[in-house]
Amino acid sequence: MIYALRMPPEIREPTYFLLAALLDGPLHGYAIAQRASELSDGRVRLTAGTLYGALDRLVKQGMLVEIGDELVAGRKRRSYSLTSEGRTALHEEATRMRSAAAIVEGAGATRPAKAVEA
Amino acid sequence: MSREGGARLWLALRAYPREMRQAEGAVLISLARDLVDEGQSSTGREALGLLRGGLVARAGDLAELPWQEALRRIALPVAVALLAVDLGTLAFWLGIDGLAWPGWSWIAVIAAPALALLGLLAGWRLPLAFGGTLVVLLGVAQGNGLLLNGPLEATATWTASGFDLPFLGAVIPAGLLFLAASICPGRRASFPAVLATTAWVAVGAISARLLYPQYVALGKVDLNGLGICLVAYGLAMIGALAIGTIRRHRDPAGMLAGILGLATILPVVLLYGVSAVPLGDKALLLLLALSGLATTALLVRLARLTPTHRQGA
Repeated sequence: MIYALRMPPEIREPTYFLLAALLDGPLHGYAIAQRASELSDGRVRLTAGTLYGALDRLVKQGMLVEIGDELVAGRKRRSYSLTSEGRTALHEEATRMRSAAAIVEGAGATRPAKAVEA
Repeated sequence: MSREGGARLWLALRAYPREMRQAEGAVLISLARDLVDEGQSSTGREALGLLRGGLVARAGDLAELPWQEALRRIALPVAVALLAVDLGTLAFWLGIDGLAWPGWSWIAVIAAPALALLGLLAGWRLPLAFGGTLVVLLGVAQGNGLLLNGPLEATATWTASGFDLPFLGAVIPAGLLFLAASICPGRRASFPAVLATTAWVAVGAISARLLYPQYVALGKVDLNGLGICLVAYGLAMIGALAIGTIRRHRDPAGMLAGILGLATILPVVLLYGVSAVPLGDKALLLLLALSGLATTALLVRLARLTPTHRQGA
């Protein structure tokens, strides 16, 4: 229980790829959705409502910052950029997942696979 | 994107709170249109996404409000929906029977949510409390009710002949919600808000009038009063739990959940309690009035226990 309380807040997969989409620089909403889908091999497909809710939450948490609106072909687009807090959270999550993966991969490398009979 | 697709997105955007719609609506719609036009999504999926996002945003707003204001916010769409359904149903039966005096039972059915709505829009507590009490009393004493069928058919003479609204018993939680909201200080709604609310009542009433013969009167849906009551009380309980969860960090979240839980359980106790005893008209009316007063007093007492109410009063 104490261990669970001390764990850093987990970043869910859509949020992870949403933050990762902004690693190379600021993007507007549609470009974020497209990049997140590419990075996740199509697993993360966000609707405008879900994406906007997530972006709004991340701005409030200080992980993203809005950098302005522009009008393109009559459509209003808002761009976002990763803050240092967002970048840190993303790297911490990547480290956590790497450690978690290492446990499984290490066990696989040192122990022979044992068949389990049903 | 087709005009119909654009209209669906525009309608779904209504799920967001007005302030958010005004500030962010253009960005949201543009993003949804981009996703659809580039083949990343479909109009239906985007409309559902906007609907979900809007409801989540509203729930977030609800969690941040003082509980009295939150109660009034919940009560407003409930009053609009109730008045619209009642008006639509009356319009259908007037169309069948011809324009005539509908009887006092129908007048009371329309007046109850209308008074509640008036109280909510004008910021007056008395009409809201009276409307809420009337909704509860009508629900408990529904003309052709199923839970109270026996005692009323045998004894009551004050319900209109052929008055059949099996959903009345199911709206008792709504009546108790109006009563709970009436103990909170209110404020007058702006003129545009009043106009928008009136428009929603009209749209709802017309929809109810059109849907009633298709889905109810022609028997596609078998209206079972007991079933409707159980579904309504179940939904009220789920709503109370959801609101309690959303507001778990807000004082007095337990109080809000308690009031809504009471609104769920009390009607069932009342219905079964009254139907178990064969009573005459006068005794039945007296018992119903006393139950309404006791409920009101209990809710007022609960509300006065909270520090935020004293600050707001």
